[in-house]
Amino acid sequence: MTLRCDRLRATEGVILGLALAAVLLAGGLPADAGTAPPAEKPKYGGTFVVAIVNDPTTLNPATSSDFYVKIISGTVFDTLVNLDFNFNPVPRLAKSWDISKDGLTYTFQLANAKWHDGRPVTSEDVKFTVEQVLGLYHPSGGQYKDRIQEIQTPNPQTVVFKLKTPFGPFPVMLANDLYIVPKHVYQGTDILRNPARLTPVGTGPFKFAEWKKGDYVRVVRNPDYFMEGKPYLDEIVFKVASDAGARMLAFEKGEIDYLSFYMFPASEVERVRKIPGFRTTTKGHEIFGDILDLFFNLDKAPYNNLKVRQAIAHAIDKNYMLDKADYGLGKIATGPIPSSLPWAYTTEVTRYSHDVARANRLLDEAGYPKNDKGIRFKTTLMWDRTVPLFTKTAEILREQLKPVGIDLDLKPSDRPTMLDLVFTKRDFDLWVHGLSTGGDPAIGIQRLYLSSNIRSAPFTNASGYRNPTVDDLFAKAAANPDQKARVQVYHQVQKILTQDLPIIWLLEFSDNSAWRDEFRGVHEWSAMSFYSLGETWWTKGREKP
Amino acid sequence: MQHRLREFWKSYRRSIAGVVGFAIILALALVAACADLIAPANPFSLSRDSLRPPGAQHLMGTDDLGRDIFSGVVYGSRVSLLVGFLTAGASTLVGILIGGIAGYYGGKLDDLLMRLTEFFMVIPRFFLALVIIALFGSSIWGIILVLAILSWPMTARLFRAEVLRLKSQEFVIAARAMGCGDLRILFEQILPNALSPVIVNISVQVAYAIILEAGLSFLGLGDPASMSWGVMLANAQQFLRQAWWTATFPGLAIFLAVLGFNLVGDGLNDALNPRLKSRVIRIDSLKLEQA
Repeated sequence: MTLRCDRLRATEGVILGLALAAVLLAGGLPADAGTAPPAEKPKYGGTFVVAIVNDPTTLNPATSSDFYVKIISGTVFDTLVNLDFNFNPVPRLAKSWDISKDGLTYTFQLANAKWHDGRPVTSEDVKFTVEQVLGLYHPSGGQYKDRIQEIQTPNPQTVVFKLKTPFGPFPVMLANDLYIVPKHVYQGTDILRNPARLTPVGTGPFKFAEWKKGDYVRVVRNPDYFMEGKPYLDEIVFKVASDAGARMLAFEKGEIDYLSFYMFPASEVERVRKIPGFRTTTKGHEIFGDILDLFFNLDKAPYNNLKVRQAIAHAIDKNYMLDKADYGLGKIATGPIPSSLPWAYTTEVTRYSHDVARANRLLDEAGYPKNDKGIRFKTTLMWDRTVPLFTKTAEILREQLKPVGIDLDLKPSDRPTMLDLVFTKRDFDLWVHGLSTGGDPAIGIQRLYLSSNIRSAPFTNASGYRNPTVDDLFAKAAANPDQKARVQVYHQVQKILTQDLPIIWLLEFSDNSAWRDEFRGVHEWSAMSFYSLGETWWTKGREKP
Repeated sequence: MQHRLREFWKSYRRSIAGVVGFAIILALALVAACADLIAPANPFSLSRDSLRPPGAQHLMGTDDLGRDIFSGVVYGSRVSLLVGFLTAGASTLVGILIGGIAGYYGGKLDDLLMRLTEFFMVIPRFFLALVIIALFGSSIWGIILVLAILSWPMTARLFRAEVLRLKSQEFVIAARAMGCGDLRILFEQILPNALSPVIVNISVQVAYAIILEAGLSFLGLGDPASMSWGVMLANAQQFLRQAWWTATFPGLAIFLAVLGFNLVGDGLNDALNPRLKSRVIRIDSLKLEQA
């Protein structure tokens, strides 16, 4: 009998021991999302598979602002500077720079970099890129032509930009568009047809290796990259995965390592977050600073009446919208400048609480009484039907305006028709759209409020807002390179605009990216993290390159 | 007339498919008619209870904006029936007219009309829908217009084949010899005898229209102001992995409705099959001159 008991105790002990070991193994070791890992040293090696929806149209980033061109070219080429989360410029091809006191002269010292074919990078390449490539073919090229008086190249390591008038956000502009391309490859050729645009020669952390159309683009590590020790990955493969469902499955199975915001809808975030081994983030997209806007056509009744606009602002429950349309991932917008531009943003503005009673009162005061069916007036709302966020917002708006007696007729539209009606014909009542702010109020924000920008090109001043005070303030702030001075001006602008309410700023909707936790150095500091894949490393790599 | 109906029902009853289909359609019609009584909520009202699985409070769960799916399915039946019948009606009228004229007159007119018919058959559906909706806006009437344009060729070809078959029959030759006008022959002599395939075709057209509407809505061209099953399916795409009920119930509804109309079509086909029935000759419209 004793023997049996002993044996039982022994078995129990073994079982307990195994159980304990299992618990320790499962729960004890540091795993994924929750706990912050200690600062790790990057390892070398590995292949990083990035999903893209279609082939890029070219691999010359100085001629295109297309996302698929930039995400690949961003690994093969460099800009002069990059931007961190707070929009401070960070050295890249330019190792240091100087701004003159009058804000008209920017002097950049170039790093000791080489092109992938061995030739050295010089200031001539920079001058050539701006004048012969970017200025002529890039969608933002006009801005460069308008602002730059002259580019000087006193020696191969120094390039000097002389501006016509001071422009505060000049470094932001450069970080966004100015990828330097080789003069010795493109000079004297037909830039847009040069075969080099398909087999690019750059300065970047990765070299172009191969491009199988419709399948993938592969880039491999540049061992001679001018930033010591970088990059870490052996190669990056940009895989074409056009079907959203298949793409998601491939990501979960481990065939794709990174889904950037373009390919990672907000509706999937919660679900992917719960799967161990994956990380998601909203950081690293600050360059966009998207705001979901409800535009009033100020030239059409009843929207020329401030009380009507205020009433609508009070009728809207932004918290519900944030919850349901953006899955609670973004933030409520309070004004024309998003909180992702912390230096310019302020909350000391006129706020409109969710107050249905007040909305009803304002509409009564404005002279739009309810008829016997409870309706004050009928109006239409237009939006781009291909964006689920906008569609949901439209449906929510319709329901939220019912209790205040506004009958909202929904008009989903295809993009070209919508742009034509809103900007060319100015034939709309209400328009919902998400617009990015481009990293600086002088780049993506002022375009919506300047009276000089009421024209038929898309994404200009759609509401038709005219306020000379605001025009002056924007002009003053744009010209000043001193960020501290600009802050006060932008604070004032926000106060005025939230009072005048030409637009209701609904949400700062989120952009989300996701990647497999085996990889680090993704979305860690850059305001445009998706174009900065040169710092990614693989946790299962080796110690030495 | 009573006798004919009873005869018809007796032969229709023999087809199990037909009876099942009829039951489904009847149930659908009842649901559509009594939607206000059956649905527990306004299908458009938003709530904070989003993506709740089916349960006591929401029989079929809720969607991402907290709307009750059961109410959506119930009210959606109205949209589907409206779209189905209006489309089938419009396309049948147009189809009979064009198919009839083509078949009866033959020759160059027939060639012309048949080329026209073929043109409408090969137009890519999606682009036609895009164009019409860009012109007329995303309303349910725009959708019905698109669907009618896409469906009439089927009826036209069917009716033309019938007309070709019948126009050489003795009673038609007799009518023409009597001096009856062409259109009168077409509508008083030929149509009643070609009615069976046309009626069967109507049933199939309704099913086809319901599926097409779902397809167009799924592609984002639907009317968001109407809570149709297709619009519900389109919305559910994003949540297939985490909320199966948002797609399954509207999908089942579409499946049942289409199945029902197809089965009714089968039943009608069996009941009206010309091989078993005797030919109807409209003697009363011919003025027989007693010699």
